Amino acid sequence: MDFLIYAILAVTMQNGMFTRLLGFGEAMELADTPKDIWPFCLTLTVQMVLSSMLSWGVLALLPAVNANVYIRPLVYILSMIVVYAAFLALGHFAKVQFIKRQNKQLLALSMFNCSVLGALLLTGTLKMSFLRSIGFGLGSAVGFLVAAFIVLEGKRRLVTSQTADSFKGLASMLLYAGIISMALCTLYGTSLPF
Amino acid sequence: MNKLRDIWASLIGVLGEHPLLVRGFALFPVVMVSTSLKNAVAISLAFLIMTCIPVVVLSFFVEKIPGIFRTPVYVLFSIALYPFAAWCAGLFGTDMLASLGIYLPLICVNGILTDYAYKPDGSRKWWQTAFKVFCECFEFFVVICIISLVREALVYATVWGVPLPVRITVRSAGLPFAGLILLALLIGAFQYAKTMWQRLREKRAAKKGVK
Repeated sequence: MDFLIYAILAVTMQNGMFTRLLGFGEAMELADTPKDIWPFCLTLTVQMVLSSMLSWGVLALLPAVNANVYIRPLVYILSMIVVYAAFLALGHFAKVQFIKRQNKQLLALSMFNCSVLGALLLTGTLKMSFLRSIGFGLGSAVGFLVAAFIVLEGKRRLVTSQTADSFKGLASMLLYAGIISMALCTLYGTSLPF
Repeated sequence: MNKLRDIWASLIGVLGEHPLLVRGFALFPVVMVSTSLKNAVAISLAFLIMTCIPVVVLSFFVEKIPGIFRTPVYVLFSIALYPFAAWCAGLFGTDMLASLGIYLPLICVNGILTDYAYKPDGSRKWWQTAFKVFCECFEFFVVICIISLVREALVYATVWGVPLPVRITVRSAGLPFAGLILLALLIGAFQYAKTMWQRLREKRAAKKGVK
């Protein structure tokens, strides 16, 4: 039950992109190449779920590291690197076509972005249980996918609209994200649940 | 003289290609942390440490690192500097780390840093890279300070903790959507100023051509 609640929270009220602007730059880049959204989000999901499992395990084994707020982020980054290396090894040795065919720059971007690290840092700060952290990681990845499609649709429509020259591009997209963020405020009130 | 002209040209180039206002890099601290001017200065200092040092140091070896490993190397170097950056940010107040929260370690995956990782320019000398990344960090500082100034005045009716004579507060300006809207307005103003500057230059050039 915890798993499900935290996953739903991460998609809706805690949607990293519209409540914390995590991964907005990546979503803006993806909006230029919509065919990359699915592979990007799939690798991001794998990274989020596996690195949250791995970092949870490491931090459970090393309570001294878990208590040190200066060292904990390093554990998350190392977990992300391990998953990335495993992913590359799968592509290289097991010849997994999905990984081999992916744009390497996009692969690195999907593995190392603030959306992934943000979700990991939140699970650590709130000392979530194993299931909760996996649920939150999975929910954050699905939340990113939903938000990426919202950004894509917004960008597509705003490009063809009669926006003032000064507000074309990033400015109008931020206003659009601001309005969605304002709508989400009606769900969580005056401060984020966590 | 030529070196000075080079520096001026690259400064104009960096300003025109503002990583935050034009390309949308490193937006999350500007929106999430900019509720007070102290926060803005503290996170800018941490941003400078965690972005400038890895970019400049790794610019010496960037060509030797295989492309697929560059991003993890840059991110790892940056997070290794996090304890020092956090200590520096902590100088601005005892509760600074709590108020910056998860956004301080998140700097290690900011768009400016990862962009240097997968689009390195080997032809650029180290001092040119250092100058460019320093300008980008300075621009980040200016933008976050402007947004923070407005938001702190609106939310708390203070500036750097000093109360303003007018005690009217707008609490909702502290919410993320207010940061997004303020940033959008700032980008709009920046684009307008850029267009005006370009037109002015074109007019001057046309006048010179007529003479």
